[in-house]
Amino acid sequence: MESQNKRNGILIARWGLYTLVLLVAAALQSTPGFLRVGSCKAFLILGVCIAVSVQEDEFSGALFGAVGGMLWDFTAGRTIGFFAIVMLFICFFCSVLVQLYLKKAYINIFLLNVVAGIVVTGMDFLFDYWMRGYPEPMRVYTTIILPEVVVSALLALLSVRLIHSIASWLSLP
Amino acid sequence: MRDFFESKKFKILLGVTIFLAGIMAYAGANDRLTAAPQEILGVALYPFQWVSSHISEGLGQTWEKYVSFDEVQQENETLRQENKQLRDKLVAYDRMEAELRAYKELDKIQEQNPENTYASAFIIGRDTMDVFGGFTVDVGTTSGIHKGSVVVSDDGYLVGIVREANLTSCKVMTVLHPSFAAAAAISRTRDNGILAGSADYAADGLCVMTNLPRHTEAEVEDQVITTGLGEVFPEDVLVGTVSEILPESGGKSLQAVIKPGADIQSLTHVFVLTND
Repeated sequence: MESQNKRNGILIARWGLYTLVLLVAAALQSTPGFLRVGSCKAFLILGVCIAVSVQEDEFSGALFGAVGGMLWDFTAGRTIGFFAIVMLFICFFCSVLVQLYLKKAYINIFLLNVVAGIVVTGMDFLFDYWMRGYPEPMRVYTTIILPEVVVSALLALLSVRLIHSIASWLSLP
Repeated sequence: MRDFFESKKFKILLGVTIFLAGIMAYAGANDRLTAAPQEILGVALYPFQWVSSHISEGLGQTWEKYVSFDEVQQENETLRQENKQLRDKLVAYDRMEAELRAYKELDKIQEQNPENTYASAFIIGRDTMDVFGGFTVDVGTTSGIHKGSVVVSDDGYLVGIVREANLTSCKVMTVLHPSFAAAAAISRTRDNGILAGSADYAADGLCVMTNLPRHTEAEVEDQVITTGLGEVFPEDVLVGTVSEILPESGGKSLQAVIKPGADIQSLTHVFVLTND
């Protein structure tokens, strides 16, 4: 019984810390001027959600991705549910890929973040820019959005390190 | 993997997906970007955004102080010269104002313009992927803000309009956004046009004023102001200066490229008009 309580306590603490990291990432991502280089600004929520999904199982990762996506919807002022659904699927597939096919190496996680970033920003760009008929979508995507994807993927490695440390520190006995 | 798709967990994920799609459809159908859960999230996230924006602002100012010293010095010199020119102009304006006052008294015309009231607002969030500079501020309906409230910079330049107001925060669409539209005029020539954002110029922090008459005598550096037509924006709000005048694609009118007086991408504080 005591062992079960201890186990529950560790799980609550671990997911509590994950959530705190996610909230901090959401706040920093939407902070004016923070980590901005020219017109390029990193998005951090995706990196944290992918880090958690590759650390945990596909079910927990997908749910955490949905929560992260809702936060992103809110902070970016988009129709709520859009990023949440996209992130749910992305985190699910990232978790499955790492469990079945990929090693949990930094280079793999970096590439996962780049591909996931392209999917997320690509879908957002498709609905919120291209389909509205604004001019030169490819130039805007390649010169503004794509550099943000790469910078975000690099910063995501810090999230991986942080989430891994939390998971190791609060691992189940 | 096949086991997973037959498991209870998969059904839960499917349920979550359907639920999210449902609230997205609800938000879209009600012409709102947000729904009730989002307003609750907004209140929860507000302290984090407030703290992080203040920390970021402090760090940014310190960094800027050391990195941009030469630039600041040069800017200071330019501003001094501009200040001198403005003082000279001010003398002329004072005289004109006195004359105008005299004429008004002569004709016994009294203007009953109510004073504008403003709510001070800090920018607590920016959309990283919005190339049109949209942002969130820390005042909402509890401070008298509503959808359509006008947002100006500390210097009184038009910044944008509130496109959605929550209890403690609201989202602002800037003058750079292509969906933005306001009746405007060239201050010197009184030529009217439509002020709008443009996807072509937004990345450079510029917007456009369309439908200018072909015979306009507007020139580069002319001031642009709002006319108040349509009663969305108050009249005589400063917008910025003309930086270029081009023929419109139809050839029937001209288009002025406008440099907004407010630096939209680096604003950290604005005022929101609460009496409109």
